[in-house]
Amino acid sequence: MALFAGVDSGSTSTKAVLLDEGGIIIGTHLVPSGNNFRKSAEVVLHTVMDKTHSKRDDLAAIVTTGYGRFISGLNSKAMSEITCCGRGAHYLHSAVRTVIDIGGQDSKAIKIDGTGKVVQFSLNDKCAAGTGRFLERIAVSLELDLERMAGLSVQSQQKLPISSTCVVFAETEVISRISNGEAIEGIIKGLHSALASRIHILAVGLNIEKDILVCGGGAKNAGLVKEIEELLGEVVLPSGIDPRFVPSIGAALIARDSQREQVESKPGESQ
Amino acid sequence: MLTVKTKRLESARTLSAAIRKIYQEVWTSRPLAWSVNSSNPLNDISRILGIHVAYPENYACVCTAQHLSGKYCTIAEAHNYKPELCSYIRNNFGYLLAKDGNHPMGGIPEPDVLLSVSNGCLNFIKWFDALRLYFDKPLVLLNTPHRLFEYDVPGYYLEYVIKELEICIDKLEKISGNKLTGRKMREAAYYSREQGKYWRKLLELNKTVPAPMNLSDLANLIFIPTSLSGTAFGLDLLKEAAAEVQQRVRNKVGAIPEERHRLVMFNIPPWYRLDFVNRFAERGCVFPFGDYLRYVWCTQDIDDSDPMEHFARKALSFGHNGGYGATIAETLYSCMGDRLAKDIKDFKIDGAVIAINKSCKIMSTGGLDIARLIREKFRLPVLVIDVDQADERTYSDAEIKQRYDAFFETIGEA
Amino acid sequence: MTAIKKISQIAGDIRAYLINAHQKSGKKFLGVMHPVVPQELLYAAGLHPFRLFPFAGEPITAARAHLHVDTSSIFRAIWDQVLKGHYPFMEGVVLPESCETVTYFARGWMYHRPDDFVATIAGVRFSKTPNGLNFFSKELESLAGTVEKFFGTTISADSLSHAIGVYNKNRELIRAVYDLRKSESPPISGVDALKTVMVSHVMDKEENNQLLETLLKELKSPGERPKPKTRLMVSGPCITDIRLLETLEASGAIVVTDDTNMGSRSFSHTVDNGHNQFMALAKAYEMVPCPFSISAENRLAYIIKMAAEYRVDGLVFAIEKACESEKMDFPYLEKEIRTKARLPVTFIETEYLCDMAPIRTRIDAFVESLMK
Repeated sequence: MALFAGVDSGSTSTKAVLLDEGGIIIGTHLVPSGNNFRKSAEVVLHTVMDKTHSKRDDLAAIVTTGYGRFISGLNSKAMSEITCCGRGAHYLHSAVRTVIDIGGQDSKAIKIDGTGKVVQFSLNDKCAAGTGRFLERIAVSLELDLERMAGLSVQSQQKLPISSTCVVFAETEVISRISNGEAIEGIIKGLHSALASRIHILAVGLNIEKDILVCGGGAKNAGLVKEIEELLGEVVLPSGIDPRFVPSIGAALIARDSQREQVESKPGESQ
Repeated sequence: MLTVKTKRLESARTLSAAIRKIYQEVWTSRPLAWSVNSSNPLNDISRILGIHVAYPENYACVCTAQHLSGKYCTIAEAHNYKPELCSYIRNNFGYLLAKDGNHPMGGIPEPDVLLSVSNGCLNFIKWFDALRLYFDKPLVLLNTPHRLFEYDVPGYYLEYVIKELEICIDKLEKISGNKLTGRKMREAAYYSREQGKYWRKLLELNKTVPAPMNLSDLANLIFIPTSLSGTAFGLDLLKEAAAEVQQRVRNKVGAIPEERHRLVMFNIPPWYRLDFVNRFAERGCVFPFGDYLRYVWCTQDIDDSDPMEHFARKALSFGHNGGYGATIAETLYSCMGDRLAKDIKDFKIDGAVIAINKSCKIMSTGGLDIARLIREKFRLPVLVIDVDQADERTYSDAEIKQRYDAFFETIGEA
Repeated sequence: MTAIKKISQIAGDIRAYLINAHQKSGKKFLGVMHPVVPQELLYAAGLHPFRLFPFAGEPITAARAHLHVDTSSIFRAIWDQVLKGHYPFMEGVVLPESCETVTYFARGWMYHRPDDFVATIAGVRFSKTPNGLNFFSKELESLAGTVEKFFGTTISADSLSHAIGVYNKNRELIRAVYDLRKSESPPISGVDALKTVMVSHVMDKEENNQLLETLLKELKSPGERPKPKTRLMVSGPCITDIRLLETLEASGAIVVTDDTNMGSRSFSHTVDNGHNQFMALAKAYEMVPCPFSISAENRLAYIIKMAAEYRVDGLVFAIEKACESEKMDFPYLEKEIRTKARLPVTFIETEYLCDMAPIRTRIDAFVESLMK
């Protein structure tokens, strides 16, 4: 049986998804990317094969995506994570026309058509203010984990706006507010709101349409999703799967397509 | 909380009321022009022709003072106005694109015509050209070339600008349906020149110890020679301010309770934190002077016997070398010679605050060199801060406060 | 050696080339910013004008003390390399009223390097009146006078006529190279085309004309050329980083034309070589299609016309972070090009020595989205 893999070498984690011929997800795995993209890609693929008791020989095609897509060392084709993300989102929820992907390194708003093809997209500028790093950095300085922060944000009745768009400045602003005795829940809600508003900027420029799917690590943060919904209206989250796998699903689907194209272009060789 | 405050001028209150009234009146005034306010003779001339003038640049300051700049900049950025564009411009487009109608002073109505002049800032031409496309309304642009390294503009510069001005006047006459009369032109040129005289007088009075005005007063009063230029009304406001300041000088009343240090500020003040002067006031520091105050045409006396020439020279002689008829491309570098030494001596300056302002490359280019010069040649303490004129989101109070404190420690020992 | 090899060799180390050319020619070398300065005047004075752009690969260090980080990175890099003595052959600069930083730092240049020749010229911007033209022509005459005085030379009508001829020829040849890129299978990549214009910007124009003639012959010779899957156009200010074009073309696309200061904006005009030379120069140079000289609307027309001629599939705005004039036109251009011309558009922000990985992601995604 032919299998298809999508490997997403992201800045924080490396993800792999395995599909069968029918396009059904048969396995997923995630490892931290660390400082060796090549090794992580190899490990994540091995593990997902082991987990599903698959044989390497059955692997008909691999598509790599993410920042490390060219250095994965796998015998594969590379596609950008934007294309993969659109495709993966369409697979999970066919009514999706906009994908918001919030990663550690960048955030994206992607407009797709009814087939999952990218129509237009925008990414945050180089500054970290619009990315998951924004919350991660502040979580470190507050000595809280992200989940706890999300929880506090959702619970808070009050939202203390964080005006700064710069991560470093936002950090000092948070610290000085805490030392002024302001409510930490309100500050955290303000932070989530600030990040949501940077993401909103990306989306507005595209004249986005519904449904909106939020994915990437940011989709796991209920506090952030709530703030995004305040700005963009109702969003959907990937169901039954970790939202970080969306681009690797897309990559695996593209691997499956490429196999089909080959077969179609060489009709004499097919049965 | 700050306890020491700058003692506000009574005439500043009159001015605030006047500004509010102007913003109300534009709603019933037609035709209405949107214009650039600094040293733009098209404003003086439009008013004579019955065209009312509103200033999106000034309105951006109003929005910023009411802490709406962050909101407007964010909206503009969502519509592709990138964060590196001047925050006045982002404010303006953010205001235009904002869906809710809750704007400071009720907003400003859409223009019938756009007026721009290229002397102040090169981007202002691009800005107004973008507004022309946004509103689909005519743009009357007065191009004023920059001349460097010389203290008077060559004859062909003056001839060029006079002719361009004539072309602009022709367009404005058609828009207004009125004709320009010689008498009205002479009057406007007279008021324009007189306002210059009173502005210089105000600056002169602030050389007194203790300084009768702080930078915040002057930053408000600058509205008059920039935005009400060529009007009797503006002249009256300046006269009133000058009389009050004269009174303070006579009675040895300072702008701050206890003046111990006199500082010069370079660059545009952050309009969302104009009260920063009070932080300095707490430490006995007053700002009798800022280079921003020189960015008006009227630091020099321009003869008004030929009104067209007066207005053309006014458009040409804007900026740092104001006194010599050179234009703004001079930037900070041209003041690094004798003039800086004279300002430091005349205003009895013993420290400098130099802002690097992402939005204004004119006033920021040279800031780092002038900081070094003041430190090394004049041996005065210098504080360099990064503050945008109107994008409050890039400002960190905690970070700035630390720098202030470090500076106060230095100046305390000086 | 083939012409394209020679071009690649020079483009690979422009600094070494300039040092060598200076030694050989014995001429005085003058740096020029932007396409709006008529170099013909300087050439006619017996000088060797060359376009100033930063040499590749050196981090900005010394200039940090003078120019803050929000000013143009290209100009900061140039100034940095000037301070580090990388232009020992340069006698000075001509800086137009164009880019914010260039305009406002002209005096700073003089402040730091008082022995340099520093001249500026004013422009007419969008006021293309006969009066403006007349003014601009006088401004050019004034520049000629300043050059003559400083260098102790004269610019005769004959020498100016010769210079105009040489420069017209040069622009014509570059346009001929561009024309070949209109074909289904362009004989030259975007990378090589950028190298070609970069070399043209620094080389003696007469020598460059010979090189371009050879290049054209090579490009016109029959040969197997792949048909690109995607044809891109780049729009932006000073694209001086070959890595950028390499990144664009690594996606499998070919850059077939551009609207940039380095590229087409420098070569689109022809100067009438008749009697009134200053007026002819003024007429040609006031129409250089850079954002400071012409309005967003006219730029739109220029871009759309070019995109059609070169059968462009997608337009990449590659804009220097600090370039406000480009960024001021961008919202309008982006919207009009996408909706009215129905041409897909993407935006990337560039800076001197910027990391190409994030740019690669954007470009790959863009090119992937263009595929049928």
